[in-house]
Amino acid sequence: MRAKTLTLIAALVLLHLILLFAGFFAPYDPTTQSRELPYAPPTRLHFRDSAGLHFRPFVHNWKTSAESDISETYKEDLSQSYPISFFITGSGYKLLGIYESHLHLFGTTGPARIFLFGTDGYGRDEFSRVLFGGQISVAAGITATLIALFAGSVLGIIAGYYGGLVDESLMAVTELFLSLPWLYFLLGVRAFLPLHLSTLRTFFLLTGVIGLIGWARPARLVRGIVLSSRNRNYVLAARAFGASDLYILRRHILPATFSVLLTQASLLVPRYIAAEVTLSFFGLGVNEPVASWGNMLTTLQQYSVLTSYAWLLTPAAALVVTSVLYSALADVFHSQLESLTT
Amino acid sequence: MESNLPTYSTPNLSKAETSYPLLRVINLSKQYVRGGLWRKRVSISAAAAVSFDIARGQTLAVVGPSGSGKSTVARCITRLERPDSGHIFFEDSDIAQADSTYLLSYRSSIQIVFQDPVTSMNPRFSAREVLEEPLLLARSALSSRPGRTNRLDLIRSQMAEVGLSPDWTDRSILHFSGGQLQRLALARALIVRPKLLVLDEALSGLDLSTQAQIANLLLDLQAAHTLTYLLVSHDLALVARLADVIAVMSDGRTVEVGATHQITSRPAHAVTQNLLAAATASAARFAALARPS
Amino acid sequence: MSYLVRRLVRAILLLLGVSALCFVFTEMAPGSFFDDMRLNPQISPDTIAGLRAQYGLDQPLAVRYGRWMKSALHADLGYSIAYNAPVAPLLLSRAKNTLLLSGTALLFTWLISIPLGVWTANRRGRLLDKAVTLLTSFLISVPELVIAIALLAVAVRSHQLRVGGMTSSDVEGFSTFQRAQDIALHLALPVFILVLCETAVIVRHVRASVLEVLNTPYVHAARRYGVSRSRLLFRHVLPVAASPAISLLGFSLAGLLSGSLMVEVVCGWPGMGPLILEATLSRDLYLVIGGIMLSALFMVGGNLVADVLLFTVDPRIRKAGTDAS
Repeated sequence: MRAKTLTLIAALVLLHLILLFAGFFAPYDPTTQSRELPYAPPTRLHFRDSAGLHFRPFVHNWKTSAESDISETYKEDLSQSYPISFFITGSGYKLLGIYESHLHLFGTTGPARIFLFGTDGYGRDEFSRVLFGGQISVAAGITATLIALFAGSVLGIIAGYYGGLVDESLMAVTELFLSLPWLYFLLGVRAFLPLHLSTLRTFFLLTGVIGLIGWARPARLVRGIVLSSRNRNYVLAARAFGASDLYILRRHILPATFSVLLTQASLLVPRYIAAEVTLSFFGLGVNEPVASWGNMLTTLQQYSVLTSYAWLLTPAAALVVTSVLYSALADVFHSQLESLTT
Repeated sequence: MESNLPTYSTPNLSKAETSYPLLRVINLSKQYVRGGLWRKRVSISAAAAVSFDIARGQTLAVVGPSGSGKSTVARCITRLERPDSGHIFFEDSDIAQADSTYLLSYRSSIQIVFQDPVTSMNPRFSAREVLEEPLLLARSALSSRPGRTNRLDLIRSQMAEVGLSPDWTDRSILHFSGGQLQRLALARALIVRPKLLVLDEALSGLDLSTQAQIANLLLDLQAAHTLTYLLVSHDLALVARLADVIAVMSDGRTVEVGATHQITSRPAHAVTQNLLAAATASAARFAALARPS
Repeated sequence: MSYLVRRLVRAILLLLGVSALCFVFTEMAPGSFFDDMRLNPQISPDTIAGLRAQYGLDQPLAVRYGRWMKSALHADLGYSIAYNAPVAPLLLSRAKNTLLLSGTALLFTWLISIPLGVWTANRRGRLLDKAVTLLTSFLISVPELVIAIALLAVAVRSHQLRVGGMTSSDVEGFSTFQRAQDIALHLALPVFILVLCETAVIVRHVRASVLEVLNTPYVHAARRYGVSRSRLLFRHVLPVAASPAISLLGFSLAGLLSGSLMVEVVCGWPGMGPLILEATLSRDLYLVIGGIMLSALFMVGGNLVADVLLFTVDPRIRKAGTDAS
């Protein structure tokens, strides 16, 4: 594989690992509020002070100073400097949802706080929230993709294999689903389902809805492959040996679908992550206090917040990075697929 | 070590057995229907009232111009299609309308080799996987499936028998030439020890020298294992070399059936005469390349 | 001619399918709408009971569907709980704004995409082409929501454009021209966002189809005969490349509608988008269904227009349409 592809895959793996072990990489719990520090800008890292250059960066605490009666501004409290420690013990979290752990990659001791991406309106660390929110958003995207691909594959195989009326009616249904504007459809389906549910239920509901709307295109693609493979001579030859339908599907047809499904997966994941983010942004997805990139962006609907606190856009930046990486991967798969068929 | 590998039945047959027809086709008919939900249905008669016999150890060639129904007959006999009417007696059992469970026991006895070797094998497979498939699927001649090492030995020996190096078992079939692929297809058909082998234009896609080699290979195999061949072709010159009996088809019907030397020397039907005229041009070239028998 | 008839039949079937889907969903979640309404202290139980009776919600699905269909054909789409008004006029007033936004965006998208696509196809591999391809790749990867928020932030900060809503608050004293100008300034940002996202997609397709035509034997032959580049482009290439581009029109409509919903909410443009969102959040059943149906109608209508255009432009379609009947 070429170096470019390898770095791409490495970057993606790194991204997912960081999100998976969000508890470790994030210095704080995403729900911990520091009410005295709302909308604090990102903590500045210093390497140099009066004593000279330090290897370990250190930070200063934010101190509020009411300059005028209207706004509070933040100034660094230079009286004390706090070095950053690595692999420190902090708030508890569950590693992979199972193991209890208190180990964090970095953090500060004492009254110091390190807000790499600043804080939001409730004084919650934005960096930690981006990591934990990413867990939800990316997991939603991946789960929805798996649902869409699975449903699409099953239906595509049925349509392609049995042909005739089954095929024609299924294709008519896919045309229906494909020609609708997805966001309207998504809203519509979401509208008919209960609004406030527990987080876990919301998550599965969300991914189910997004995935079930997206089954149409994979179904068509898989059906196409099944149709073209079904009448190949090697399938006939296998039948001449007494192969059952199931054997032919498993041994000859399904392997041909893998490359198409992989390309589809890399295309759909970023789209579905964006769908979850959009829904949560509108308030129809994951709700507070659970963080998702979508509901973290909701506060930006107020213009004052949007213009004053730029660090609150970091969830959007994270979303962009994820989407661009996946799109690049899709391009790689697509060109590989083309080189296979030409 | 017990042998659960398929074997050929004894090659020494009595005179009565060799003359008894292995395959009897009587009044075979097949129609294809075009059109579906939106278009008008049109039925095309591909084969109508086709009849012929093949005796054990013989080669019968079905010849005719394109569209005469030869491939349809081949597919019906191997039950890749179900004929609309007629009888196909294989060793006294009528398999024309038999259901799939009944057919399972016949799958190993009747095998087919297709015209295009490239499309008749899954391009992702290796040679070993191609030859292993029938062993994994075959039911009749075997009481139980042979074990992995036995299968590999069988595959290697089969490859050697058709003229392929046994070292190539793990090579992807994408690296095989057309002629080599056809040999592999032949090996795949033979590995289950069939009694009847249908060759549906199996030599048509090959260049002339490869054709000659494969033709000779077919003759050798037939002699060694008392195979019965049903050869479908439009090339009368090739057929003259390999077949004992020729059935000429045109527009889905058999117009002339007879021994090879009779058909080639005194063709009765116009279609046969046309085919013969086209073939004599290449016959001389073919004879020059073929090995003396 | 029969081609168009078949397309029309297809469109009607599509609309029927959408409406059926909507009703199936209400059946699948029978309690949700009215349960939530019961919890809402502003709505009295009598109102709910009255609504149930009025819409025959105690009747079987088929009956309900039939009644709704009948009234829909008379342009009565039911009653909105939250607004306390009939749905149809509510939707239609908002729909005008959405059409203004989508129509303008569509116009600009194609005005930019076609020349840009042709230009980059013509200069394939050169700097312009590479730059445009890189830009479009990036724009396609980035989710529309992010682009909308980012551009909104820039617009608000720069104080250049007027953001929020369709008109400024002091619109009373304006003359007609000034009103139009005011609306245009408010329209600029949403249109810009939509055009940016859609153009990225369309330019690629136009470029691909022009390239395909440029590589055909008859174009090569024309070049060898000495046909000038511009004449080649306008008389030979463009007409052929037009049809895949037009068939894209229908496809891009779906994207535009989805996009416009989001852009309207983010920018505060008073179109159907924010209305339907509100309806979803306040569980306003008939407003939601009406909104979905109306947007489906737009979609289908737009696709039909594209089909008619294709029919008139491409002789191959005309021939195929009249042959295969």
